[in-house]
Amino acid sequence: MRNIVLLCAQGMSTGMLMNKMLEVAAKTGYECTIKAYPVNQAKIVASKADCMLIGPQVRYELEQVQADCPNVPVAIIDMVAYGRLDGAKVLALAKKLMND
Amino acid sequence: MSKINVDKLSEKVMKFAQLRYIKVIMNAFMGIAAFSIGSSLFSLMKSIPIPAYQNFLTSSGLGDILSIPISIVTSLYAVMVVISVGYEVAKSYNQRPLPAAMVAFGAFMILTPFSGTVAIVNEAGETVKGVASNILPLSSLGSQGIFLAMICGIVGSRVYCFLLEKNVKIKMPDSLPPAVAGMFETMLPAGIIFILFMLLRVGFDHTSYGTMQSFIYTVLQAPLMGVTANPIGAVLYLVAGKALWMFGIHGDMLVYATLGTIRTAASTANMAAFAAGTAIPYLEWGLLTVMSNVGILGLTILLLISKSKQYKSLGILAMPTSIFNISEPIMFGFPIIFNPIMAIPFILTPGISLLLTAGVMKLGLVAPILNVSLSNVIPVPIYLWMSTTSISGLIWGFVLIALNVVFYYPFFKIAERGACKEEQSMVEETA
Repeated sequence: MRNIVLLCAQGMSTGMLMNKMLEVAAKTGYECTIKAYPVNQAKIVASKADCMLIGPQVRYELEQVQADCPNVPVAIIDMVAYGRLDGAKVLALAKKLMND
Repeated sequence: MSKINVDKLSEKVMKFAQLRYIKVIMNAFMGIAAFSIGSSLFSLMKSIPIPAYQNFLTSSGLGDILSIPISIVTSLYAVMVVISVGYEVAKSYNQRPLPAAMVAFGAFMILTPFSGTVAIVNEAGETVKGVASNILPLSSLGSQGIFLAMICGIVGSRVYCFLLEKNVKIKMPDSLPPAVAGMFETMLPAGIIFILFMLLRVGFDHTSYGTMQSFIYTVLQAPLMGVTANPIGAVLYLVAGKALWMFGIHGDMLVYATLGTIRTAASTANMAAFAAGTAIPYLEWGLLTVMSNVGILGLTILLLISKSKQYKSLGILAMPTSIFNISEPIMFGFPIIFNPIMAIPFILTPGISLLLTAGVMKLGLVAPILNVSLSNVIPVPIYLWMSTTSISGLIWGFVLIALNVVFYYPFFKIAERGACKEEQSMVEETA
């Protein structure tokens, strides 16, 4: 069971993406939880996360998040995949980060 | 726009977003949002636009009860600002945030007058005005105190962190138990800050301003609000946020972090007027929330009826988010970012929408908005309906969406032509 955390400004637009990713995960039988949070909560939620993905509109937070959460792999979501709410592509990115 | 320039500009914008105090203020306002969003539930309940319900709220007194949480936000906003800012400053310096927030709060309260002019009704039923001591005037703790609260939050907490870093403390003999010694040690940094602020208080006692509260308000906040919190300022606020979005980062949030103090002072004053049942003083600034993404909805409608297959499918995908004023799918999916043609309507339409809306409200064609604390995810026509408690707001909401479809149309057509051509050539290739 993997815990994936999505981070954006308020956790709203990633919330939409979260639903799309969960659909893909359910379809492919990949067991995971996915949750969306505001990026300023990264440090708090990091302890329960296996990987964290940052929305491209707050990509300037990457260094800070990496510094705050050294034990969790972090990546920025591709802009087009983010815009198209491409659950499959973003889930693939998460899997790659966790070496699944 | 050459590629290199865009990259360089992008990098500059990113650097700006990473500045310590920009982040501090951004996070501080987001922390306060827990309270203000909670209270917006009650402004929602007060704004259901049914005349019978509105009459019931007034006659039963329920309306006044629902106003309590809203009044707390408006009356004590400065207190929340100083605690929240003090907390975030210390956090950014890796110091324990809560003690620093308390010190900043203390510093702010030291500058706050403990007396004020009040009106009371005596036994004979006459209203008597006089100076009361032993009170905290709410006027200093609400929108008028926001600038000073910001200053105290930053200075108080920063100096506190500095003193801790420099290890300024009373050296106690080793024989003392550590817990006792610890208490003496922390006494000094907070104590030094209090002395500084007490000196400020005493100093301002001897000026014509009387208090630092009134000094900052008169010398800094009021003139700054006069220059910025007007229609032009509101339009520039939207334009700046949207222009920054062109670099693919959350421009609205960045502008909020920079100008949030002004926006908050304006909207707190607006909320206070709403709770008191009077006309809002900063109409254009009250419209910022609802005007921000109405253009995106206009564009989404064009996508939905587009001849291009990929545009149509993006329109279907993004319609639910666009209706609720979430713009990211269109921003990144269309995309609008780094797209010089779409930059024109994207940057300009929110400001134009705002001026048009303020215009029809001032002409009396549409009822003016009263409530400015509704959630930003309420669809535009419903938001305007509720915030004006008038059906004219609802109708204007739909007119505004239609106008935004028109604004985007010529620019959209250029993009669509390109997309259709691309799709055609792909069909030919596969055929």
